[in-house]
Amino acid sequence: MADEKALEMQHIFKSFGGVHALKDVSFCAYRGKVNVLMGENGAGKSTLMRVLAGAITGDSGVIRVDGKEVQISRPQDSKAAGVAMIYQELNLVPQMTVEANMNLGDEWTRTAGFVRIRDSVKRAQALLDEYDLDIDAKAEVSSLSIAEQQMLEIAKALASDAKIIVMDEPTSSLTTKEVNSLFKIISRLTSENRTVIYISHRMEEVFQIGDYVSVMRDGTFVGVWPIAEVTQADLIASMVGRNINNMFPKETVPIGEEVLSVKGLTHKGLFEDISFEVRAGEILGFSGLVGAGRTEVALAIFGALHADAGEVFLHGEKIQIRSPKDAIDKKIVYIPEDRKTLALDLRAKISDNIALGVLDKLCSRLGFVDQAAEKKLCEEQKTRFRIKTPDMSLPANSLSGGNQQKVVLAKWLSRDVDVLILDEPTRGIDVGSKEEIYRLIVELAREGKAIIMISSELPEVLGMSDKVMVMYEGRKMANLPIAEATQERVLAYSFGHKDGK
Amino acid sequence: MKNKHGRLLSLLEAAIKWPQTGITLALVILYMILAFAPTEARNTFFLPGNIVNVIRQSAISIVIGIPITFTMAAGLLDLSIGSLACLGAIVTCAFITGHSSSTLEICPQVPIWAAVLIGIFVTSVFGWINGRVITSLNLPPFIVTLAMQEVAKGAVLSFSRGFPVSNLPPIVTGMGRGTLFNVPYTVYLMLVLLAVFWVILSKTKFGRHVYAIGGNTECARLSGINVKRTKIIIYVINGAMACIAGLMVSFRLGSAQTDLGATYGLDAITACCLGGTAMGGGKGYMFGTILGCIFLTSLSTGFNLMNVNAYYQQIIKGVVLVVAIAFNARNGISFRRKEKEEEKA
Repeated sequence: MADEKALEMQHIFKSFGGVHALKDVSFCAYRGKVNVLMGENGAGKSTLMRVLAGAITGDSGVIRVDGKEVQISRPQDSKAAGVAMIYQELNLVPQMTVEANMNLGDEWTRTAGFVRIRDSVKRAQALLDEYDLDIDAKAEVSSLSIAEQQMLEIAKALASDAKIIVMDEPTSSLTTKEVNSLFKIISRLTSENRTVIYISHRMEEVFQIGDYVSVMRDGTFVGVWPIAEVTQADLIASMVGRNINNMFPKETVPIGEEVLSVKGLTHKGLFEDISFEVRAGEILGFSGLVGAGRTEVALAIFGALHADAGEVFLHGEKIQIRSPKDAIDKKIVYIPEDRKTLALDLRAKISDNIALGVLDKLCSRLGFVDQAAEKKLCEEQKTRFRIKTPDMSLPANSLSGGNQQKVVLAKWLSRDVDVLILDEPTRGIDVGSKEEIYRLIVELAREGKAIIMISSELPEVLGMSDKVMVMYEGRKMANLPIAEATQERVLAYSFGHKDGK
Repeated sequence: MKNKHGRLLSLLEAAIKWPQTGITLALVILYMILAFAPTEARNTFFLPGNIVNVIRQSAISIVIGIPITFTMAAGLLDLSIGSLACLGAIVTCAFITGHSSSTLEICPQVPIWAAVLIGIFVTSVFGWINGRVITSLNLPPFIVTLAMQEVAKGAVLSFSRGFPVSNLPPIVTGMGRGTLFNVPYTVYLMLVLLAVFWVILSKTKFGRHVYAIGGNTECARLSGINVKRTKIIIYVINGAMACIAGLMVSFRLGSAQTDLGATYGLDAITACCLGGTAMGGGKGYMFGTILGCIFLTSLSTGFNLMNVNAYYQQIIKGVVLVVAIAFNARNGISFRRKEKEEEKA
């Protein structure tokens, strides 16, 4: 007998300010089965599930639960439809108890809204015990470990008696013992004919508990197959399967001496024994999944994060970087992923933002800003970085994402920079502006800067880098010259496969 | 021997972790200072008549402190509660006395119960406006309630033409000044309100929602809680309670003054912070607020009797507040650089 569809999402579209996150996505989940959803970072998996959970509303499309169409525009609608969502970022109120969190929004009450506290606690504890979760229902959530909090998220979904349970990377903070507990719970759920949707990057898990696997790519739905009919290679190919066309204006640029060398950089729990070198004019791509530790390594080099062990050499000399100011003085610059909150003052003028990068050089000894010099600098940077704006004294939030990123680059490159670390430089930028940013990066390489580019977009990494370093769970898996870096190899390393298959 | 020490140690640990340790210590220290004050002041302070006064005064600040505890537990602020108390008092008293003050706008005389309902209604509407503006336009509560404070003050002055409403009938002053078994009626009222709201905060669905909104607003939203509606309800409660507090004062005085409630907003926030309720939200301690109110009232009454300069009192109030907040945040304070870096990681 064919498996029935418990959930159908048809022709879902969603865009955020011009950027398409979901394009005509049709996804289905089979009842009583574990439906795995896979895809690279940015493929749209979490966005699709957030639409299902009512956290965001789709622009168009239909959702059917058990064959009946449902309108989901708020979290309450999703709950009413029998969906429970376990988010990747912990979604708990730390100051409240475990039981209070489990029943949040659906409290068991007597008349006039009085909560049946004692009964709720008993019921919650019974549920926790039944599923072998070693958590005290009366404990305050802030006193639990991260792993326990993650298990509590799962308990929350169980408490709601949902028919469809969505888990977004549930094992990311769990130990092996807890992962096994989770899998036992999932078996129970499916035996109770509940539907599980399981988002994961971990291949072993996918093949261990998956019944069906769906793949998304670039905001579109690629396909769904019973697990028995696919291999790991097939899945990787579907997740990647696009042509790297000439989107990347990469040119060969003269490569100079070694500028930055890192040996054995370690921070317990975040990354371990990271070593690499970057030479002048070279672009080193940092590839890997979200959470692999790439940003943390960059922050450590930049002095924003403390390293337990390891050495950093600049132009062959060992250096100590204790703070971002040290790094900047030594001409190492880091451009964060979250440009809106960490790299720009959106309400300030574009010119002010740029000037902030070299304010000390624009001021006289007494601290007065040289307005003429500032104006000249801004005009120069506007031309050099091709910033599209009618007026440099407009606030930075008047610019498009691509132009905002150019302003960030202009700000930092007003200074003398030897090492430039870019964290997801084209995140949230439209295709046209992306190309301009890539051109700028190539120009900067041509000027002799050593560039580290952290990116979760495979084509970008492969199109722009001279060397690719892949990280997985804090460890360096490979450091490949571009000639040896194929999409499949890099992706395999990203998933933790030691021999790149 | 070991057992005895073990128990003592865990008791000590619990005492340090208890959120109301700070304010309890502060109260003890304050009363010790008062007990060892110059003879005349000490004798006056500890007179039964004065103690009743302190309790009566505290009752008013507690009536304001109750809704502010809710507000802070939800991570919100309400700076307008003082002017709303004044507005409620002026409106109610105007309707009680009718045309008795020739400077007032035309105002029919209505039965006392009706006037009280009108007053509470008016302040509740203003509170509702606070809530609606904050939630619908997504503006910071600090600014909106600050603006409302000015608007309400203006409303009071335009309505009363700048003059207080005096000559309240004896029935009314009887309510405000009367006692039962030597305890003022207003204190009984406060106790009833305290019991009601304490129960709501700790035992009802609504109370849990308030904590959830303060602890993690997004989580509350994703759990299906109607965050906007809950916030509006909080501000409406603030408005209603403000009127009640204003009436407690004006009924006792026999008139509604136009500067009533000037310090209520900030004093309430101070009392809540002293009692362990933090601005960040997610936690609210009614008991702590009560202790905080008693502390502040005792401080001003006691120091007045000791002839401490009113300005020095203000300085002391400020210092006590900072020390209390620092003490309450003791688990998060770090003195060592290394600790800070580990936290960052």
